[in-house]
Amino acid sequence: MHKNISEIIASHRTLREKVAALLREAIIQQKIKPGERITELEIASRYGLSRTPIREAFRQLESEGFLKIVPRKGAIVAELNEKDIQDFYEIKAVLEGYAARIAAEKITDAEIVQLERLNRKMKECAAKMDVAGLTKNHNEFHNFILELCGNDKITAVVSNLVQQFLRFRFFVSSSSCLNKMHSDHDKIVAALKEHDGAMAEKCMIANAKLGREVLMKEFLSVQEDKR
Amino acid sequence: MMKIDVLESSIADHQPLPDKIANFIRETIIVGKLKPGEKISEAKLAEELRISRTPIREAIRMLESEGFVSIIPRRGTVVSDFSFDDLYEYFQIKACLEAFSAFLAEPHMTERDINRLRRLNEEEKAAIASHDFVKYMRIHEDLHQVFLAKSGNEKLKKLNDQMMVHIKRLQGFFLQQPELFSHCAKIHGDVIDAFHQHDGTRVRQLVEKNILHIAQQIHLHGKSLKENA
Repeated sequence: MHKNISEIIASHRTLREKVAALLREAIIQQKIKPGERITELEIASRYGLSRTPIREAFRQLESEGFLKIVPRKGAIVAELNEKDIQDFYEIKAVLEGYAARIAAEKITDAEIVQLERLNRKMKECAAKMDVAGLTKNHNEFHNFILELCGNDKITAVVSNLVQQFLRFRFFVSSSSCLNKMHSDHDKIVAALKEHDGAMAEKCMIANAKLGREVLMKEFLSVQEDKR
Repeated sequence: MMKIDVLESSIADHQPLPDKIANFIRETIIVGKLKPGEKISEAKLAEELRISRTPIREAIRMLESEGFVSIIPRRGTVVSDFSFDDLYEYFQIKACLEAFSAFLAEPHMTERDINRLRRLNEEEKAAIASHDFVKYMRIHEDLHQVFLAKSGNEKLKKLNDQMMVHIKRLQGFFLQQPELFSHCAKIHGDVIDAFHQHDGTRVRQLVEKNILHIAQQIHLHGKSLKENA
């Protein structure tokens, strides 16, 4: 009986999650644009669902920052401004910094080898101007450190923060920026290798700051294009 | 079982009825009278409290968003389960976020804010001395809100609020660990001194260390529960 109920809870959650994932993806890929309005009814009829899981998905996406719910009007895809970017990156820096600090205590020799491999691949991709490969290895590098910290909730919160910016994010390919990024990553790896938590945290925060600058530049140029 | 004067006390302190009902059910879960997996019947509550089902439904929705209950279509509402491992993880995040909030808030803290912190610190000590731990927890939350409201980073505040919601489930655990309260009240004094000295870095360190200390207690408690199981 007890098990049965938890299964039902799980499948119900899945439906909400599925709707949320669908909408999130559409927002990230700019299929639904910032400022655009979506309604429960519209989504419900499009996917042949009842309104309850959709309402719940809306609420979830609101708490994640993708939507703004307007009573009686449905939901509007959230627009981002400079302050949002600043705020988000501050939070990301704090959580990634903490994860790096804890990771430095726990990391094994084998894990250091893995991290070094990801770091090397990142540089190879950058040298070939392989943006997709660079992005992939970059994400793996950062996720690897988050996972080393052993706190799934931090990983989830950070990945949620990052997702909000996938709408904007691609690598600015100026070589000075890439060099700075590589040197940041080298320093992070070195600090983890030394099991120096304080240094790993400091370098991770510096790296997040670079990420913020890159994104801000990208964001401002998109705003400029709109005008 | 649930016959308390929900209605009357609601009128007395002007709290909206759904909030009052949510408080009542939450308390019942926190003190362990309602256990994970147990069903909560809207109809039964409506009958016992002699009120319509609408405010009850609203209260249950609130509790769902806080993670206290799960609503299953066509099945009703059950008390949700929670794990100390999860709460340990949430507390680590809370440590990072609150410490950073305090750091950001420091330059904006006025003399008046600091005096308010001192007053709340005295009040929480008095609550501990009179063993009114429920009151203590309320003052403790007010105290944190003084600086959380001043970080200037709205997203940070929102994220922190989300962590607070998860952590509400732990009130029952805290009520059994009153020694943690005296510890916190003492650290609060140090944090207030650091605010007074405009030493944001020290504020941050103290807040983080204190919350990580609590996180550690939660971790150890969860571990000992597993070992005894």
